[in-house]
This record gives sequence, structure tokens and C-alpha cells, in this order.
Amino acid sequence: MIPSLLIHQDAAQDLRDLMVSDRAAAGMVLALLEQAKHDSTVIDSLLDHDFGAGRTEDYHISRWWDLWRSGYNIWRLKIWTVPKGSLKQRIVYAYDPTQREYHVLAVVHRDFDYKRDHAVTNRILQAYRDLGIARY
Amino acid sequence: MQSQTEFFKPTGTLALPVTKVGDMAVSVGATSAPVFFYAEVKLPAKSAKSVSVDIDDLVAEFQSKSAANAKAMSKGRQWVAETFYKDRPNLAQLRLKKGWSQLELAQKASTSQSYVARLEQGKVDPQMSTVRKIAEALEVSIEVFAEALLLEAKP
Repeated sequence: MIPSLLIHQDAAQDLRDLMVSDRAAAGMVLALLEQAKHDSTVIDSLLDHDFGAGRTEDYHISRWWDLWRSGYNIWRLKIWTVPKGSLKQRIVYAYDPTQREYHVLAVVHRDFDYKRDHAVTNRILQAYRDLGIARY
Repeated sequence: MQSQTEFFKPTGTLALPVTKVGDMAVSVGATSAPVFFYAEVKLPAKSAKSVSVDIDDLVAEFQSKSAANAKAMSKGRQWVAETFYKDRPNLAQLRLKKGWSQLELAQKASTSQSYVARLEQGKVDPQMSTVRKIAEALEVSIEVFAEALLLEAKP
């Protein structure tokens, strides 16, 4: 059975905003998420740290190390695009192993710095806590 | 798990001496004394369903809002086909190249989205009549469709 993929309301709002500011990018991110939900090959790769590093695949998976070290099961997906940098968004998601659920928590611009004191980071952590996903 | 501590103002006084409340010893004199209640309330996690939306529902929301959104979604799926399925000419690739969701293919082939999903996962062995309907919807030959199905067929 393929795990569930849910979009947190904050990430849904990110996508609504993106649909206004960059409709083509929103269509690409949404289509990828839509397909990930239905394709075990894609969804199984979402917990494979460094999957696709060096452009060996079409996207790169990475733990959010700073948060991971604090026990948060939070990841980031970056799509390798051609031409390079043509899709500027990153997908931030968490995994709840008890429910076998992926939760997309944010869709951020590549300029996002992943700093702990950033408002978006705080928003992501609040969403994580609200969902009751365990920390390790 | 979220934890929230709430403090309350004294709500009254105890007129009688109390030596023990629960596991906590309380020393209260014979005269009236203010009583403070301390409660630690562990709020349950918010249900994922209450704060989340299924991706299919979100896509439906966007597509229903404007033709431009629907076109962006269609182009997004074609990009997914070209980017993520370029080396996997399976049923998903055939569908995505058309810019269609599973539901859209299902509607065009007079079947259900769940059936298309299972077909793409290689979990069903379709009847010939179904193969013909879906191949026609996708505008591919039965041979091309069969080859695409075999790529995902589970032993």
C-alpha cells in the first residue's frame, strides 16, 4: 500500500500564492506532488537521504540536518531542472511513520535559508507539532 | 506532543483543613485559605484531516477556479512525464503526456480513478474491452498500451 501524501494548510496556502505569482511553477510542483501520491517509486525515494545527489536522478532528497539533529523528521526535495534553476521552489515535508503519512509542510523559494529563527522555519515546526508527529 | 499549561486564579477558599489532595500533601490551617488549582493540560494533536488537504482535492480546487490554472496543471503533468518518466514509457507516462490526471483519464475511458490507479500500479489484469477503451482515450494503439502496462505488471 502506498503511503498517504497530505498537504498541510500552510503549504496549500504557499501553493495558492505561487499559483498567483508563478502559475507555471505552481503547475509543476502540484503535478509532481499529485504523481508522487500515486507512484510508489517516487514516494519511496522521499526518505532516501541524498537520493539524486550530483544530478544522478531528476530530484534531490535531503534531510533538513539542523532540525534532524533536534529530532525532527523533516526533509526537503529539490528538483534538478533543465535549464538549470528554472524551477525555484523547494518542497519541505515531514514523515509520520506511525501513520505512514507524508505531510508537505511548505513550498519555499530557493532563497529560503533554512535558519532556525526564520519565520517560515517556525511556521513549519508549529505545523509539525500540531500534527503530533514524534521527535526522536 | 503539544503541552499547554494553564494557570487559574484562586476560585474560592477552603473552610476546612485539608491534609492531602491526590498525591500532594497540602497544609491548610483551620482558617480559610486561598486555593490554587494548577492544571497541566495535554492537548491532543490536531487531526491531519483537520489541518491538511489531499493533493487531489487541492488540484481540483485550482483546476475549477480558472482555465489558466487547469492549463498550468496540464503543462505541469507533461513536464512530469518528460522529466520523471522519460525512461519509463509506462501507463503513467502515456497519461501524463496528455496532461491528464488519473481522474480525467478515468472519465474519458468511462472507468473509475481507483481503477486507473491500480492499473498504473500493475495491480489489475484488465479485460480486453477495458484495454481498448483506455487505449482509445489515450489515442495510442493497443500494442503501445499493452507494452506500457507490461512495464508495471507485477509477477
